[in-house]
Amino acid sequence: MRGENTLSDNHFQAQFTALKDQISPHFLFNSLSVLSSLVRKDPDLSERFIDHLAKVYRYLLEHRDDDYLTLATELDFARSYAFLLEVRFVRKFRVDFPEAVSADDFTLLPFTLQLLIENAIRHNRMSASEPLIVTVAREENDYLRVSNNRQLRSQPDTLSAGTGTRSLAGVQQRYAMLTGRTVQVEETELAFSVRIPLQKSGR
Amino acid sequence: MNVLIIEDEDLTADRLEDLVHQYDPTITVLAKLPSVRDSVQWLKLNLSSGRPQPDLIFMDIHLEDDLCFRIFEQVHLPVPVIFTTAFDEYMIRAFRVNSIDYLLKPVSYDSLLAALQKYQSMKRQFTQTDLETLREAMGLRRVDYKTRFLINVGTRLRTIETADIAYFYSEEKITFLVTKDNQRMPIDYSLDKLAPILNPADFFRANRQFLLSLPAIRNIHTYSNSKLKLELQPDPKTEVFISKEKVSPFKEWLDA
Repeated sequence: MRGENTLSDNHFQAQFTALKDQISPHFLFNSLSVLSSLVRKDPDLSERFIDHLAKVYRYLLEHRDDDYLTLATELDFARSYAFLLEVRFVRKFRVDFPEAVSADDFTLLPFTLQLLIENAIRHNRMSASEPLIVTVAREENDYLRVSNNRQLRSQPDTLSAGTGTRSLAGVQQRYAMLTGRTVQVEETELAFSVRIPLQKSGR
Repeated sequence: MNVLIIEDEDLTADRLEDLVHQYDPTITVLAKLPSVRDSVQWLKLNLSSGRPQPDLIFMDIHLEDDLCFRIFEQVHLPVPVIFTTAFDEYMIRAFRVNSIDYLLKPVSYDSLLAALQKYQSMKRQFTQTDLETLREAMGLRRVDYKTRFLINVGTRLRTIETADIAYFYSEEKITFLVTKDNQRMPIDYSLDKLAPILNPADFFRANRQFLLSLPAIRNIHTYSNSKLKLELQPDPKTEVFISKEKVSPFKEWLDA
C-alpha cells in the first residue's frame, strides 16, 4: 500500500508534514511562563523542566521526516511532554504510563500520543478536586489504549489548538491512509478511550 | 489598590502576584481563582458587598472549566481587565480595538509595568468589556450557532433551516417559529434558550416576546417615549416594540 505514490498520498504527506511543524505555539509560551515562576521557587524542578522541554523540541526536530517511530521513542517523548503539562497543571492533570513495556518491536505514527493528550486537555475540565487523568496502556492484539476520565468542557478550547489534522479525526485519517488500520474510539459517559493500532516493526 | 488574579496555572498566578508586588508592595491580591465557576462565585459574593472591591483584574483566557468570557455572561463586571494570553494574534487585535490591555506570557516585569501605568492613566475611561468582540476574537462565533431546527409536525418530523426563519415569538409560554413564507410552528426552546445559540449578527432579541431576523423587519417607526415600533414580514398580528433601553443596541445591530 505504501508503495503506491498516488496524488492523494502526496497530498497527505504534505498535510502530515505541516502537522509535524505545528506543535501549538501556545505550548512553548505557556511552558516558558511556568518556567519564569518556577525558576525562583524550585531551581531543581526548573532544571528538570528545561531538560524535558528541550527533549520535546529535539524530538520534534529529529523526527520531522520520520513516517514511523518505535513505540519506545514515542513513549519517551510522551513522558517528557506529559511531565511539562503535569508541572504546569500541578495536582490537576496526570498521565499514567504503562510500566516497562517491550516497546521496541512495534511502531506507530509520530505525534500520536501528543495529539491525544492535547486533545484530552482541550475537551475536558480539570481541577484539583477533579483532576483529568490520561492513561496510556498496552493492550493485547497490538493496540495501545489512550483513555481519560470524561468531564467535558461546555465548549472545547478552540484557541489553543487547530482543527483538521490536529484533531482526533485527523489522527484517524492518518492511520487509515498510512497503515490501513482503524483507530477505534470508545465513548461512555465517564470515559473516553482511543485504541491505536501498533505496527510490527521491520517492515 | 486591590487586584484579582484569574488564572488556571498556579505557577503563572504566583508569578503575576510576585510581579505586582514588585511594582507596588502595598497592592493587595484579593484572590487567585482558577476557573469560571470559582470566579463567578467569588464575584457574586464580593462585588458590591461591604468587602474590599477589586480595582483591576488580571484574567487568563483559558481557565480550568471554560473560556473566561463566560464570566462576563454571568456577572456584570464593572472592573477593568488586563488579559493574559500565551499567543493569539486575533486576541491582541481585539484588545487594541477595545483599548483593554493585555499581557503576553511569560509575563515580564516591563510589560506588567507598562500595563499598570496605562491602567493608572486610563482608569476613568475603561468601559465594560465588549462581550461580542471578545467572543468573535475567540473564534467562537461560527462554532455554536444553530443552522437548522428539527420540528415535530403531528407524527412527522421535518427540518427548518435557520436561514429560512423570519422570527421567533412566545405566546402563553409557548415559543413559535415563523418562517419567511409564514409557516408557524411551536418549538421546544424558550426565547432565552434560543438567543445564545443563534448568530447575534442575524437575530436580535427585540423584547421579551420577539427574537427577530433582519429580513423580517419591513419598517421601523419612531414612537413615543423613545420606543421604536416595528412592522414585520410576515405580519405577527400584534404590535412589536423595541423598548427604550434596547433602542441603542438595536441600532448598533442594524448598523453592523
